[in-house]
Amino acid sequence: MKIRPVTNQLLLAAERLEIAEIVKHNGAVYEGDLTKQITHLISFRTEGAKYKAAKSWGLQIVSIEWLHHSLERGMILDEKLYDPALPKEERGKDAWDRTKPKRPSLGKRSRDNSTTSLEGGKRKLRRTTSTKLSTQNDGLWGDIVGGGAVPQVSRSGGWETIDTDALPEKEKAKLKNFDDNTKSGSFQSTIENPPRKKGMFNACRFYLYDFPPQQRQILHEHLVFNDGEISSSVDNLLVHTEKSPQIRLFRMVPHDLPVSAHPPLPESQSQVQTITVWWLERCLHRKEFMDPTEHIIGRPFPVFPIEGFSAVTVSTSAFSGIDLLHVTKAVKLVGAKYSEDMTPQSSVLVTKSLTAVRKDKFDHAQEWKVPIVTADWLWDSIEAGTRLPLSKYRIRSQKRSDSLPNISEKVLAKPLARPERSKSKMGKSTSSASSHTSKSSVRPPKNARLDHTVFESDEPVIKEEHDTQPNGSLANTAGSATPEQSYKSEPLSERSINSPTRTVSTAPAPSDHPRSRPQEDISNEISNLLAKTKTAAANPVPNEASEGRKRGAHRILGRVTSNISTGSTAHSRATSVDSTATHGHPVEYLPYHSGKPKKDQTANEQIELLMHGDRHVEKDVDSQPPATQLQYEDPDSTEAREMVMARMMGDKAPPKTGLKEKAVTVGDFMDKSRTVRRNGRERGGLR
Amino acid sequence: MGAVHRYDLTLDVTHLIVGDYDTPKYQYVARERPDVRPMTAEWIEAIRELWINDQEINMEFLEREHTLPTFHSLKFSMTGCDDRKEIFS
Repeated sequence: MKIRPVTNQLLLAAERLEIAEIVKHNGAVYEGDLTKQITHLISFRTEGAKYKAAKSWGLQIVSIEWLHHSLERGMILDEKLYDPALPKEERGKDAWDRTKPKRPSLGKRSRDNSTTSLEGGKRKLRRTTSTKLSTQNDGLWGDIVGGGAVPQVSRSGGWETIDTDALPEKEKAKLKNFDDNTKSGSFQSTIENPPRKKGMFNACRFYLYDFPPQQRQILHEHLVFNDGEISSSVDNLLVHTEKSPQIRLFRMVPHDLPVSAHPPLPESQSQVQTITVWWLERCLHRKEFMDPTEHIIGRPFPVFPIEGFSAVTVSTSAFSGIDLLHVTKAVKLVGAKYSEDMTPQSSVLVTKSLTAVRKDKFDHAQEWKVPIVTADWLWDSIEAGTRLPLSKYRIRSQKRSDSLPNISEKVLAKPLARPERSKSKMGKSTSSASSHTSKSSVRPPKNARLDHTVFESDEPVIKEEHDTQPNGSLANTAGSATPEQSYKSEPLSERSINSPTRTVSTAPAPSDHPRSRPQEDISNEISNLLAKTKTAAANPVPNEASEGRKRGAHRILGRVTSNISTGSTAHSRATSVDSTATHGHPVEYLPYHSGKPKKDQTANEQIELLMHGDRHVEKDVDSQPPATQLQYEDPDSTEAREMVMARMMGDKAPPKTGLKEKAVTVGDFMDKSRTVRRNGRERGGLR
Repeated sequence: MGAVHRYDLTLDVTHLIVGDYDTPKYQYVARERPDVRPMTAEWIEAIRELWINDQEINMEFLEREHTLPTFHSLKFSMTGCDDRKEIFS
């Protein structure tokens, strides 16, 4: 901020506005009228209505220096030291310890704390600096720290430059006094400050050209914060440069100021680089000093808007943070349109690096024939001042071909692989099914088929059945055989899963019964199954879920049944029948539960029972193990068992040995004695 | 979050979180401790928020962002500028 000499002239309204701006920018409120809510009155005199009112209200009355000094410090200074009643030279004296450096920032803090604590440990508030500064501690410090003075001196020179330029004559004089005092009075104190890392703009001197006060203020803060120096005029840039030849000089201009509007630099100042705010932004973002020549962003654009860009819509990829901001701003500045979203209307996709392009953007760019170019195209175009052809910067799809097609292939392959796999699975199941059927051409295939289905999980079962139907019909000469098969397999699988132990008696049932069943029933069942499959396909999730629930419930029931009453068994059975075969032949399951007479048995059932009773008992033995084993089954043993069973059925081998053998293979969890007993009972009941 | 909190203003304090400027601590820091930065309480909250969400923390930026505005919560009025009288002579 600039403070014009107020001597012999009234404070201009503009000045007043500027102060109001500054005040507002620093978190305070400025009001023209004095009210009791006002905390501070900035006064240029010690009389007047406002002054008196403020005094009587006990408000803080300060001079303008307080404002500026406080800003410089970044904190509110003691208002009493800036009483307008004080002579100007006295104001702000010892308001704060300027000799101490401002710590640049968190990141750059050197480990000075440890050394500091050497001096006095954890010094509390009570201990004042005056003691600290004047004691021989400081000498000690000088010895310890040594070279600390060098950066410090140059630093204080830094702010001296700023202030002397900015402040009026008298202020200057005052400051000089102050400075002299500081140097002579407590020179040691400067040495006291331990050396610290320099900010990124150390040894850089800036001249801010043509910024509004508010912006200027911000820039000022940032630059000084990082140890930059600021000159109030171009000429001042060169002051003292002989002393420190390594100093870099910059002239900062707004990025949207055309080059033609830049005041020409005198010959002698050719080493002054002209930069824009963007450069500062980049530096701040990266937290390091970047040479402005590195990148066009940060230097004023030679020409803008650039001809030929007006019809261009630019989309970007892989830019982030400050880069993205700069790209968008630069794009707009050269006259092109920036499109945040990638659309078919985008005329070019600018990307930071070829590998970083997002896949979807890349794909869409390909699809929409939007050329993809590297950011260099934009930068070079800006630098050249013309719209350069894309060809040189184009990212060819071939470049990416190694990765892209692979990816797309993978993507494609996945959906493909799925069907294939399921196909093969189906094929397998079909083949195995057909093998069963072929086997069964000699004998009724029921058991084998049953086993097979039983051991599959839900879904495959349905699928397979669906599959086997045509297949089976091909294999089997008898058209009804396949339907029969699938029909049987379904209820059986359900049942056996439900209640392993019970299968002892029940398993054989389906294998026998269908033969006697009328054709229409079978076809009914088929349609049922088909419908089921369809629904399963249509909404597998709920179906499966319900299936699972069903199953779970049954399993529990089944287990329970193994050691409790048959009543519940009967019940569960009934339910399972209901749920699986929607239109019912509960008949076929119920009778085999147990030999106990059932009230709810229909005449039909009983007849059937009687009719097949004998065989049933025999078969019983055969079928029982597979059913029981189902939960623990593995394919090998399934095969083996199937073979055994087929043999048994084919040879009509003595059931007893079969039972023995089976019982052994089946597993120990089955209560053999109970089974036997039950069989016995059943037999008795049937007879 | 790895920082140290002290009730007392000690020599190794680096940041002062300011609630009220009208305190001896504030005044002392303003006067004697240019190396201590006055901060708003939101600073801590902002960092914490970032930290919890596992985002990148740009300390320097945040520090600048949440430095207590010099004249935070103050109200100013001015006098003497519409007076033709010479103020400083």
